[in-house]
Amino acid sequence: MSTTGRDSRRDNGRVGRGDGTPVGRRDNGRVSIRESTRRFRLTRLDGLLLVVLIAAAGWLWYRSAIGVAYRWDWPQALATVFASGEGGDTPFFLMGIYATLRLSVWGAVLATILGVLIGVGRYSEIRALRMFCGTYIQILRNIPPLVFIFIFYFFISSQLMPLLGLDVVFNRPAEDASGWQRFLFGPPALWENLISGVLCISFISAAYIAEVVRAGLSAIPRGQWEAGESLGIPVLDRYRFVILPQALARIASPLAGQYISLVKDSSIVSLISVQELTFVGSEIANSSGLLFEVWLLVAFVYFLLCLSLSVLLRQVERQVTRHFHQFA
Amino acid sequence: MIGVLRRPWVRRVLSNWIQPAAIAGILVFAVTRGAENINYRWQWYRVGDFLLTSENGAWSAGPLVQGLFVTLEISILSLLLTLVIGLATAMLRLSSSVIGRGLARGYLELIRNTPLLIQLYVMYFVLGPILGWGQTTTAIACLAAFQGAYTSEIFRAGLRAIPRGQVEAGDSLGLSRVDNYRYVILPQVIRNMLPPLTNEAVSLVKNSSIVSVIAIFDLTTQGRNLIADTFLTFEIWLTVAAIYLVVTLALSTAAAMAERRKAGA
Repeated sequence: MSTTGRDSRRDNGRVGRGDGTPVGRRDNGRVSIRESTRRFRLTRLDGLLLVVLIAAAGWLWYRSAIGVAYRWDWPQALATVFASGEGGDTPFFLMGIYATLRLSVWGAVLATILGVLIGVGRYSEIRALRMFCGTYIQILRNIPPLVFIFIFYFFISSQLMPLLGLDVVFNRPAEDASGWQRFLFGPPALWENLISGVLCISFISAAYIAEVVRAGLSAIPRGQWEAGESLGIPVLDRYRFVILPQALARIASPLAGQYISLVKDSSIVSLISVQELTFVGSEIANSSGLLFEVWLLVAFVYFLLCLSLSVLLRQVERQVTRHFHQFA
Repeated sequence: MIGVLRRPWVRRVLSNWIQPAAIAGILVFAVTRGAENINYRWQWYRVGDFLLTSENGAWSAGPLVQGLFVTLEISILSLLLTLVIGLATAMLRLSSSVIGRGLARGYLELIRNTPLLIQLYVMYFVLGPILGWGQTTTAIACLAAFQGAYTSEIFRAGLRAIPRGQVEAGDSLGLSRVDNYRYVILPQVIRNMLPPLTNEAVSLVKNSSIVSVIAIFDLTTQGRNLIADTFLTFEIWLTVAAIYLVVTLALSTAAAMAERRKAGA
């Protein structure tokens, strides 16, 4: 079974039809012979998969309808999910989605700042700083996010908040918050909640972003650094005009992946009671008893979020790296 | 003796182990000082009992070590399933079958664009009851389904890295598809893939902590239960984190050594 062979030929065929580039790279002579056997096998594999698929779907249906006798009630589920709260508030479910978005945006901002600092710190002249940054990356990437979140949450609530005086800031009366503050940070009652979540996910994500930044920087030839240095460009300018533009082209794609990971990772902060989509989902699922529908719906919303984010980021990435393809 | 220390892999092991240990020590010190400020009473001496208990001279595993065994068991079983799923998906993606490619693609998009926790909830609350799965089965299936999507990329890269000539040679020797895969392609793929696969194992061990939300008595759950019983929050969590760190770093070190051996060969 010539995997690589068949695949490259498949690509060739597609590209050739698609934009008319000449692609008949090699072995045109043999294609026709193997094409026939391939076509026979293709139908067989397709047929087999089709049968398996239908059997699996049928069995799933049978188990859910007859085995566990689950009564699907989508209208009821949708009505529950989009029911507005008391006094015509935004539906709880939508508030969860907004909270996840806020969490992701602020988490991404903080994670990028921290991640870039730590990643650049790996290249610092100071050995202790280099070691600290390296160890931060190493530890954060090697313990489960869940364990980190539990440790860190306990640490935040017992130490960090009082230390920074944030508990005073967040315990203000709710009326003080202006409209844009509500838009950016959500209801004031949940600010402390939000900041715990943001800190947790951005600290985790920062380790991964730092690794991406480090890898991007390490891919830049030494000569570039030395050229900047020998031209007498100050350190910051050296980063800004020489290194950054080149690094950006290499970093953009893995960084986009990290942002999507961040949105996904944001679901685990529901376990420290940050009221985002997963938390809201489990509340609704438990209170309404419509477990199947609500969880599938939550999964679907995440799917849409991540998919649209990846499409969006691909556009941004194309814009950002447009000028730098020569370096990539 | 000094020369040994200069060897790249020795240095990598050193930087993998000694450096984190040093900084972890500093962090623990900082946390200790911080905890003193809130009058936290450290009771490290109690942690030993949670690792190993001795009764009448006979040693037995404490809750944390039992939890570690469950974590390892789940990780190993789901790693095996991950390999199957990853390989199957990679082969389907590279196959000529339209349905096969569509299936693989749909599976990948679905897994990549939803959080692991949500996958676990969907499996546990929706698929589990429908299929009549227990917690452990659900956990293993979920972890494997999640990791399989990422592992399939490694398999795909591994399969594509095999020179065409190898495949054609197998073909022209009259090997059947299965035999060609089994005797020609896979042995080469697996040798190339050992280091990246070890990273997948690290990732599985890490992700396995999430199954604690469906009441499986793994390391994380045991830690949470102990904290609920004893209120030794910092001691237990730091011990749990250290155990995870030891396991994952041991695996990373193995990967580094495997890579070195590959590079040397």
